[in-house]
Amino acid sequence: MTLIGPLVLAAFLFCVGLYGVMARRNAVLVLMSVELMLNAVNINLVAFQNLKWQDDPVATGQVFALFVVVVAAAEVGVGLAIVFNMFRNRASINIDDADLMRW
Amino acid sequence: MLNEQGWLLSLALFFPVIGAAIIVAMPSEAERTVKRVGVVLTGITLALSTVIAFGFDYSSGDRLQFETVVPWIDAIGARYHLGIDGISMPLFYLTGLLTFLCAIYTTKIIPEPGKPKAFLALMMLLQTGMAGTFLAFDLVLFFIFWEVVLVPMYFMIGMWGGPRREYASVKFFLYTLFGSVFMLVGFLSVYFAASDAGLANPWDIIELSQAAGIGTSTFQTFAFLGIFLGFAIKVPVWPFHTWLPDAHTEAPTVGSVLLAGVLLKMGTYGFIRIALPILPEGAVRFAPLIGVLGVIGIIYGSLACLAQSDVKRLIAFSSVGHMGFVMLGISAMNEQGIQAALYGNIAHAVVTGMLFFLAGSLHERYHTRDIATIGGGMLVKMPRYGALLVFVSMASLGLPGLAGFWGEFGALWAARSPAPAIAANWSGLYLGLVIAGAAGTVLTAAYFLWLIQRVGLGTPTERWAAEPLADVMPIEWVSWTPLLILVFVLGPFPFVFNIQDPAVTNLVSFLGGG
Amino acid sequence: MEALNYAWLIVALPFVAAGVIAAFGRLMPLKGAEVGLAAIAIAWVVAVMIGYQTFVNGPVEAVEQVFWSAPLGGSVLIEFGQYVDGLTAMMLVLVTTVSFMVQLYSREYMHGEDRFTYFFAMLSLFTFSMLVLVVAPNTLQALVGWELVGVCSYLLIGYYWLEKTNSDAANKAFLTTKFGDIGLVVGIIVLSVGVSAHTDNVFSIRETTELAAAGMLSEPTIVLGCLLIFLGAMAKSGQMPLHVWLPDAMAGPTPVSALIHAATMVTAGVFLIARLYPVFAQSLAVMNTMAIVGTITLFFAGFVAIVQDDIKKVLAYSTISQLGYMVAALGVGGYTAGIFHLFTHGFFKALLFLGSGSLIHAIHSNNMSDMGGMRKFMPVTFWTFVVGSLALAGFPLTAGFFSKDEVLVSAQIWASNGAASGVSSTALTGNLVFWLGLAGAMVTTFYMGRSVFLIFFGTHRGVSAHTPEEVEAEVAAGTLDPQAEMEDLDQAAHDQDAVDDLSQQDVAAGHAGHGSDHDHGSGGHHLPHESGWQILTALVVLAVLSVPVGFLGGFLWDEVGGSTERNFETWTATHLLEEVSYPFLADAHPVDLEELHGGEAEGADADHAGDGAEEGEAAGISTDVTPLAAGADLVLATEAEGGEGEVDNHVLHGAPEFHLNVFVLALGGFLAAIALAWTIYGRSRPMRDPVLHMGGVTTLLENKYYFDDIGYRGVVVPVRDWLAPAASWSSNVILDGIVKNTGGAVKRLADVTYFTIDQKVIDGGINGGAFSAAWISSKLKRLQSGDVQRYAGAMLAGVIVLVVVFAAAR
Repeated sequence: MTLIGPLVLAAFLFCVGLYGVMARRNAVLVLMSVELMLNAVNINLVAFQNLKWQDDPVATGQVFALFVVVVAAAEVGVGLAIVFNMFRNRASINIDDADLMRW
Repeated sequence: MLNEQGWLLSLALFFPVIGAAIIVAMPSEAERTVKRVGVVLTGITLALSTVIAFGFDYSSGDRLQFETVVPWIDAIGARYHLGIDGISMPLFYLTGLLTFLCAIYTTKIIPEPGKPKAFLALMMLLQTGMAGTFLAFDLVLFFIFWEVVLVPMYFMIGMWGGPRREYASVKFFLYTLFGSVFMLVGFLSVYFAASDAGLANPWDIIELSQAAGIGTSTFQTFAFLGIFLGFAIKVPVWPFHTWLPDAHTEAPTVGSVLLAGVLLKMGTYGFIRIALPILPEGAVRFAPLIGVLGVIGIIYGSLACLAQSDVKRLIAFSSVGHMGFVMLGISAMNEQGIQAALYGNIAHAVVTGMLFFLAGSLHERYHTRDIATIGGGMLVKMPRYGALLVFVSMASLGLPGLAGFWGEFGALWAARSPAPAIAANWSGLYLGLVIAGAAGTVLTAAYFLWLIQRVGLGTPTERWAAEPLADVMPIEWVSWTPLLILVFVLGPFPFVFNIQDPAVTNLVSFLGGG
Repeated sequence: MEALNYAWLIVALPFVAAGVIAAFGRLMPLKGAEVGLAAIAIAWVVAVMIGYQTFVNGPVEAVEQVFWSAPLGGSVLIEFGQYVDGLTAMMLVLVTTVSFMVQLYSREYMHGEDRFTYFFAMLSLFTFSMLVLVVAPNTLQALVGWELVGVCSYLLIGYYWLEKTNSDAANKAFLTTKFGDIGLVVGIIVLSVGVSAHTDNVFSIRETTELAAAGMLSEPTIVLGCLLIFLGAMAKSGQMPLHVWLPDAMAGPTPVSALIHAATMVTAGVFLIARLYPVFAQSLAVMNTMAIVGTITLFFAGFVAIVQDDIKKVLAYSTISQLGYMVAALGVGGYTAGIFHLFTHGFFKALLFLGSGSLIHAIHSNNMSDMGGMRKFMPVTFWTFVVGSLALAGFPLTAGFFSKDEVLVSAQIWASNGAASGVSSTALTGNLVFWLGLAGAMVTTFYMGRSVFLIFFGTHRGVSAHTPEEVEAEVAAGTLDPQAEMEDLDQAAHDQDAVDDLSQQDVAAGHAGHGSDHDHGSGGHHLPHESGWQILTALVVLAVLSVPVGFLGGFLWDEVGGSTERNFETWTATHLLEEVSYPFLADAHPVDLEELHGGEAEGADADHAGDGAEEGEAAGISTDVTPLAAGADLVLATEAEGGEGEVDNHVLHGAPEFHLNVFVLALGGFLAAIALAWTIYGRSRPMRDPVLHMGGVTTLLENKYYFDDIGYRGVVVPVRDWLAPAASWSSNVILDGIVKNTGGAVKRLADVTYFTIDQKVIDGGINGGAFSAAWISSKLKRLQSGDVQRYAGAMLAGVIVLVVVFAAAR
């Protein structure tokens, strides 16, 4: 099996996620798009572990992917909490309304 | 020998600073105590001065006594050189006496806004500055004392003065400072010239005098011009007098007394002590100008007095005339002239100081100094006070037998026979000066008589007829009596001449026979 | 001679008295008068002792003592001391006598006055001042006394200072004499500086006169110095045109007028000239000036007296006129004549003033138009006044007769000396003084006659004779000038009230005897009555003295059987005066002395004169000095009086003898004038006083030749109203303007520096930097949009850029 397949898939997923982050106004969708991008990275990590560096005794790629999954879960937890609070204060989860940090 | 104890002179000179510190350290609520302590402290200073006066060897008044010489600022060679001779002695003692009397006067009569603590402290600082000017024999030291005087007087006028006090105080300060700058330049040029001439201590007044003229004639002329400006403004010589009426009119009584009594004398003292002996050739060149300005001052000051409506301003202008006689004496540059100038200094200090006391008390009672408003009848309302006014006015108009006469007569006599170098070219001019100066005495008499008539004689106007006006109060008697005695004694017994005589002879010898 | 050493006592006593009176007088039973009287009485005794000693010993060696001194500078000394010789002694006697009498008189006259004590203190001080001058051994002490006299006169003339006119008069007196003092001060300075070339004792009168007599002083010094000193004497001794203060000085109380006019003030000028006479005598110009000024004064002042109504003004102008005689006498070589007239005049003028005071005291008016018929009410005053008037007018055998004749004789001798010496100006001034002096004497007689007749003869016209109703009745009858009379009445009543107020206290205190004079105004109109004993004592003493003092002149003593050994001339002469002569007469023609002494001179004279001539030669003085006249009837005063005198001596201190022609002319003039006065005023007061109806002349006289106006408009007004404001203005505007404008210019420069340069340029640059930073940041801040997606986009863009960069780097 060659690397090209997983890499193209990962690139496709990343681009979809990137588009979601950039284009969507719904905060939850933005978070979900961020997950897509993270998972695109995970695909790359696992693919390179299995197809390029199989001899690695500690399977660094797999382990790293697991870390990413854990961090992503935490990040979604925090992100969703912010979204909840935002909704509670503003009755909206449109990120265009969240411009308090503006100049 | 007592008169070799230099520390005594330094103590007497700087004791008022200690006194000022003590006054400042006292609580400001205890005003009565502060005033009394002020009297005690100035009294101690006067006592120290008296000790010095008793220890002074009058037969060798030409020699510096109570002398102290200590290296001070090595970098420029300035020394702490203090001493007293026959010329300084009367002025020094007078400073102590007048300050003491002013302190006594202040115990009862202090101008708005009160604050005796600050007032007395400033007065004592002023005393150190004034006395130091008469005792310093180093040009740098002299200059420092000269400038020290400005600050307390500035505050005295500026804080306790009349309605236009800010204007008057600033004018006084800046005008005098303006002159001081030229004086400083003159001092510096003398220093460098003396260094070139190889003097060991080029700041030392005695050594500079004994050098009998340093530098070229041209140098002396320009150096003299600078020093002349500094002293002439202080004296004040006509036409540099305009700060004087304003300062006097606005100053508190005590300030006026010290201003007329001591501050003006610093200028004439400077001429005699510094300008003439150090720069004799320049002095000879300037002497006719000084004489002419002096006589203009006499006539002009008297005429201006005739036109005044304010008693205090009138007395201030009378100072211009009296100092004109002093300058005329100086311009003769002979022993009689210097003697007369110094005597005129003392007499003017006593007489005009007393007149300013009287003017101050006049204001205390009438709350105005306008002659027309007072409108006469003072001798009816306050016979003793009126009699004092007449008495002191007579002294001020130069009545023979009272203090004011000898200075005027001596100056006129000296101007008839000025130093040979001057007489050679200017004999005719000086005869004219004598006649014009004598004519000035008539004008002086005229304005004083007119003042007496308009203020003292006649019946009181309706405004004052029912007003209870206190005659001379005990505190006024206490603070005035010494001056009144001096006004009288200095007439028939001109002992100050004897004190000054050796020193003046010595000083005139530096003029190199003109 | 020991009494001469105590002359200082005479000076010191009045001074101590003045101090004691001023300090404790109010506490004393007689309010201080007793102290003044006691002091002057003791002083008088000492003075008389000194006078006696100097008189019997002839020209005495002066006693000169210095009590204390101070250096005026270098070797020039200020000295105070005493110098006692005959001249001093004469003045001491005169001053103390008059002062004593005046003080006695004032006890009564000033009784009940406010400030009675002060008045006595001032009288003593006034006497002291004059005595300081009299005993002065040097010009400086003389100057001190001189000025003190001036100030005391100021204080006394202005005694009633509640009225402005009185203080005006005091100011006028002080300032006019002070104006003369310019001359005196400068003159003394000029002389003393001239003397300083020869001796250290520059102010010494002895050294000055000796040097001048020896010809050691230069001509300009002498002329300038003497003329300037004479200016001072003119002002003090009331010479025209500086006499203007003297009539106004009548504003003072009458005793003060007596003192001023007789002893302590106006005599000072004459005395000082006499003191320095050897110096004055060196210059013809100086002598001529004195003669001319004196003559003008003696002649013109008398006329003003004629038109006066105020008795004191009459006497004042009379004094001016008599002072003119003294100065004129000194100017024509009549040293002895001048001071002799000073001496006699002192007595009878004091008498006249005190007499007029007695009248004024009785009727409370100065005006002769309020008097009349007083002879009946005040006999003592009348007789004493008449004696004084006769003496003043020069009635034979009274004091004034002797002294005035001596003045005229001196003039005559001077004129003939001048003619003989070929000095025409002395001949001219001699004749001028002689003839105008004679005319002046007639004027004097006339106005004194007028005064005596108006006051003492006729019917009483004063307020005491009239109630207002009576006045109206008289007006209706046409016998009175209504307006003047009513005014007088009002004035008198007003004065009366004032006096009564003052005196009430004393009357209540039981002094009714003294105070009774004051009673008769406000109540009924009592007749005036004689004054009390103190006034009368003073009057009688002076009246008695007014006759015999003339005999001291001595030149009639032969005729009346007196001694010629000792007389006024030997009394007041000094050795110096006997040794020097007038330099400008030195080239006189030789004259045979024997011939000149003619009929009246003793035979021995010629020998003495010869001795004198030799002595003169030995002393370096030209024996050619023969100041004698060619006139047959002129006789030079000679050895008959002085014993050892010389011909030329007598020129210098001129003690002329009796000249019959002068006597006849003077007596004729006296009789003519008194007859004229009697004709006009003798019976009663004329309806139209002819002297008041002489048209322009009266106007001129009543305006006193306009001297006062000229002085006021020409000097006082310009100085006070133009020059003084101009000086003040120029000080405040021009000179202070320069200072202020300098200050203002500096202020403007400071404004430019601060507001333009500092604030705009320099600070503007700094602020510009800050502002531009703010502007840029305001633009840049817009990047901070708060839009997360835009940030993300930016990151993406950054990544892409990095990728491209790294790729390119590869």
